[in-house]
Amino acid sequence: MAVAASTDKVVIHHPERPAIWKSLAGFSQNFLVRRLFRAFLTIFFVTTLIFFLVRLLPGSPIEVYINQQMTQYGYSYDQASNQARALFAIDTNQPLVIQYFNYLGHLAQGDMGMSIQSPGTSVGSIIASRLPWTLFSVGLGLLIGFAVGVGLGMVMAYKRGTWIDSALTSIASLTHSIPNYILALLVIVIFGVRLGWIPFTDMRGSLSSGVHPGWTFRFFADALYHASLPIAVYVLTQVGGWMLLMKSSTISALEEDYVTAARARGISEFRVAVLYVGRNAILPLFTQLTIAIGFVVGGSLLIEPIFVYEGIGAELFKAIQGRDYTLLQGIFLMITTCVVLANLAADLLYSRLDPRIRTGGS
Amino acid sequence: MVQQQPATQPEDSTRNENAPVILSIENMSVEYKTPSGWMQAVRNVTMDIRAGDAVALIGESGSGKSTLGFALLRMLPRTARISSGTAIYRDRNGKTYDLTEIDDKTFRRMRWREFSMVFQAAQNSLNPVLKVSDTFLETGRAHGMRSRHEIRQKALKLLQMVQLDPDRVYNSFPHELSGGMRQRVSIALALLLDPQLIILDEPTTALDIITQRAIIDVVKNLRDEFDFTMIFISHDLSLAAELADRVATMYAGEVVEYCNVRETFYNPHHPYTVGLLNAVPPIAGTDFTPLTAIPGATPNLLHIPSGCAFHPRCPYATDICVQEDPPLVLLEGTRNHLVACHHHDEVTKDPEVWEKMEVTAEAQTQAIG
Repeated sequence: MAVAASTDKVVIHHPERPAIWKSLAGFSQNFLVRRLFRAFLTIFFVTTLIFFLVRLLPGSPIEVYINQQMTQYGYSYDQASNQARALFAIDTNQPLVIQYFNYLGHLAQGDMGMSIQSPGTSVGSIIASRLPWTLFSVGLGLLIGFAVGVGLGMVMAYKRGTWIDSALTSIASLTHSIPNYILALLVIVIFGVRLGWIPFTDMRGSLSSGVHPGWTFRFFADALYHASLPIAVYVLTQVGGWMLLMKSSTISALEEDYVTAARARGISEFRVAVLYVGRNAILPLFTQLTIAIGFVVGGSLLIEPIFVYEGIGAELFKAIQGRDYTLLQGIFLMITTCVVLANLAADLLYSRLDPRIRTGGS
Repeated sequence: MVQQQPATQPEDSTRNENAPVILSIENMSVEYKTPSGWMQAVRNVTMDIRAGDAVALIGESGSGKSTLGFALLRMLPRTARISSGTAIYRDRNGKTYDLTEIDDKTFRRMRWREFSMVFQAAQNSLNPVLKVSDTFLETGRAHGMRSRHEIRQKALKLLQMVQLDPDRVYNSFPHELSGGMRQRVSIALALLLDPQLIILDEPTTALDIITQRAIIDVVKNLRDEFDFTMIFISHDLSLAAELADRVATMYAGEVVEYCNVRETFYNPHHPYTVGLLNAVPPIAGTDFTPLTAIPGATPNLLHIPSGCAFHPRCPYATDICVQEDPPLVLLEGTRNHLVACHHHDEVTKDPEVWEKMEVTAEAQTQAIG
């Protein structure tokens, strides 16, 4: 009979194996451990790739510096190159493989090296001072965009076929199709310059002078003030996508038998919307969210220089122009780590949200 | 384990003749909006359901049986509307309500306390992200059961009664259960608030034959225990024979015959009921006559044939059938055998009548389609 068909896990015993083996095997089968291992591998591969890729960029930091000296101060090539040699503590003539293993060795000790362009400043300290701002603005933008998009998407699905749906769909498609850097420029040109509504010069930087980080309202308000334009751009360019995704996902969830069944049971419409429709409709969006995290952090590269927001994106922009290998490596390593960790967090959250994949995973 | 009950014909199939009518449907019509106009899915259905009855709504796909069930519970999709008719429901205290009239709030409170439903493909009627326990708790709380413990006790008892391992199933997610187990959970869930009326929409359709058997036994046992009234919707005649006291045969949105289950199988008087019976192997006896299909196809509900909707497929059809839709009337000499046919006294179970008319019927159907 069907009752006898148990879904309990079949436990296979291996009595001959020592206990340490068993616990190791159990450890490697653990969902979290497997994911962490995979995350570490991803970071390692990206690190390696970046190390070689930045060196494939045309030009080197020394050439960039020499060109700068020649054009700015009118030095001759020899003068400039002597100066460069004195300034830069790197030897680009070392074999690449040796450089790579040196880099890895230092990295293993938590040392990302010194910036080439700003001698005397460690890559770690630059990242530590810039990355929090980007994570703050990008994270908040992503969160607001996701939340608003999911909410409006559900409204669209519930009001499908009405003018509300058509209006929101048009807005969503429009904002979704504008690249974020174009929108950033439009915001400055139209609202900042033409209309003068936004004091965009005042909003540059990540904090006003005289405000220091701390647990004060003034600090948070000021940080938000300076980050508001990038955040607005992140939100506006993403919210449309989330709206459209959530709308279609919600519409298919609304057709599900369990939604009809819940209504028949007299569950209040609000609880049906949250626990039955929304809860299930949001699941496929989480996969998209993990992809979006990467794109948005990458997007800060173009947005931050436009608004002169002092985050990691603006720093990365400068590092690319100056061919600052060590800084580039460090920034990419940090961005990769953040994205991979965010993905990991989203994955773990997803497995909390969807009981069906909790024990699977591979 | 499922206890096997001997499959007996209900001896007391007329036991409820004097019970009060708890659901009185009058002239109910339901239409669906389609790009080419309103499609009549249910047409002027009038029927009474008495307390304790098990009524089977049978008919082919598209005969309107599920639509009728959904209309009663206001579960119609947004494209459908009840275009006419009333459904007077009488609760256990004798208070009556018109289900087509009362406001949504009252209706929501009545759901599951007064009438519950077991869905077709009940495998999908449980929310995949909620544990079975959460579904029971949600349902109980939506109807004022405050105590977690009380709901749990009731749920475990019901799960036990549908032959499941209560503790394990109660703490499972739907994907951890088999289709048959989920169907049992749905049945247990339908009984949580002791409803007076349960509508089962094709309760065994998506299940294998062994599980179907088990579900039928479970429903039978539960009826003995709880004495609820039951409407079940099915195209499966053997299921009707197993579970029903009364059978309503539907064709093209109309009830064409409504009588006790024995009458349906041994003394049918509508040509369509006869056609359905001839199309399946006999349920009792050893008289294996060849099966005969009803010629033609169900009518397009946008263009229902004039007069009796069945006339293009009917071997007894005459001019009056083309012109006049026969009313559902009491068959002479019976107490509650209703039939809607101009020629009901000529109808026999002899399959030869059908074999003779096949060609013309097909031509007629095509002319209409």
